[in-house]
Amino acid sequence: MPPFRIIVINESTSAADDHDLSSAEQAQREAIKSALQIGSEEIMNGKPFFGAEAKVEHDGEVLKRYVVSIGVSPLQ
Amino acid sequence: MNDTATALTLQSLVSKLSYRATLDEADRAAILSLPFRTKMLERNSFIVRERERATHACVMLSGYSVSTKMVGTGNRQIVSIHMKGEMVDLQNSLLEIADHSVQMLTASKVALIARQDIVKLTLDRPAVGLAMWKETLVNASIFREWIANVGRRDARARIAHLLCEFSLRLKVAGLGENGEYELPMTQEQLGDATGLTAVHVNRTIKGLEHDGLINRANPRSIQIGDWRKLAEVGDFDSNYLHMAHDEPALQ
Repeated sequence: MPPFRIIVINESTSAADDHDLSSAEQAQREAIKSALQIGSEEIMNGKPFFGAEAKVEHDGEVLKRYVVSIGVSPLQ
Repeated sequence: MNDTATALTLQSLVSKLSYRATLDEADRAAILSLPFRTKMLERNSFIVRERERATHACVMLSGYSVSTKMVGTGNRQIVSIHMKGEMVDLQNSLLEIADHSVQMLTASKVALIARQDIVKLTLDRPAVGLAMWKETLVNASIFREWIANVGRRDARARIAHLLCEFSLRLKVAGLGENGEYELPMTQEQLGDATGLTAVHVNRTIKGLEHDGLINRANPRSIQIGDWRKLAEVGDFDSNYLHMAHDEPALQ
């Protein structure tokens, strides 16, 4: 089985990798986890909001796309 | 079985252990005359799996291997990397039942040495025993550093730290000079070593490249552009490697 390609992309981030994973579900979880990891680091470094598209491709075809967002805001 | 053509096969082990203790000619000869057999191992194959009985330790003659632990979710943590000249699995072979797996990162040639022959050598040649003891202590020091890396540093520092460590260890193994080397791991494997997803590793490496700390002619080649800055970002102090050599002189 050709590897799954996982891409996390927004206006300032573009990161990708090919994974040998056993199922599309695993690849989708990995895509979401990747975006959350990148996003939480951005927030920890002072950004109030992170949003990105997490995408899973297989054999050149887009299997799934997600919007992942994380934000922090002070309570009034 | 040894043959004439491979009489110096264990020379890299002699060199490695000479780092750790003063060995005389008899010590060196005793290491070189250890009974061993060489074996070619494919990428991803195992030398030993966790919970198996480990009967041999091995010396890496070429290629790379990693020690790994699997967790209940099926995720893998790479806990150390082994390269040419290093003795892999001394712990497992002496403790008999493997508490971690050792897997090839690349196709590799190894020399397998039976556990009882290692024990006999260390009892017959105390200086060699001391060198092996120190080697396991240095391995433990590297484990401690990796725990600190994964547990308390951010992604940028984790990757920068690992790139600095690779640079120094590959230099000692004769596989990299002046901060230039072929990265022994894929992004996915770097992720398994640093607790990051491969995509996050990809982004982090691109960030280091963008900031001029490293240069890459291709995805696996690394040239450290600014050693001091990379070491600073990675919170890297080579003390834990207990090397005789100093950090590479870079521009």
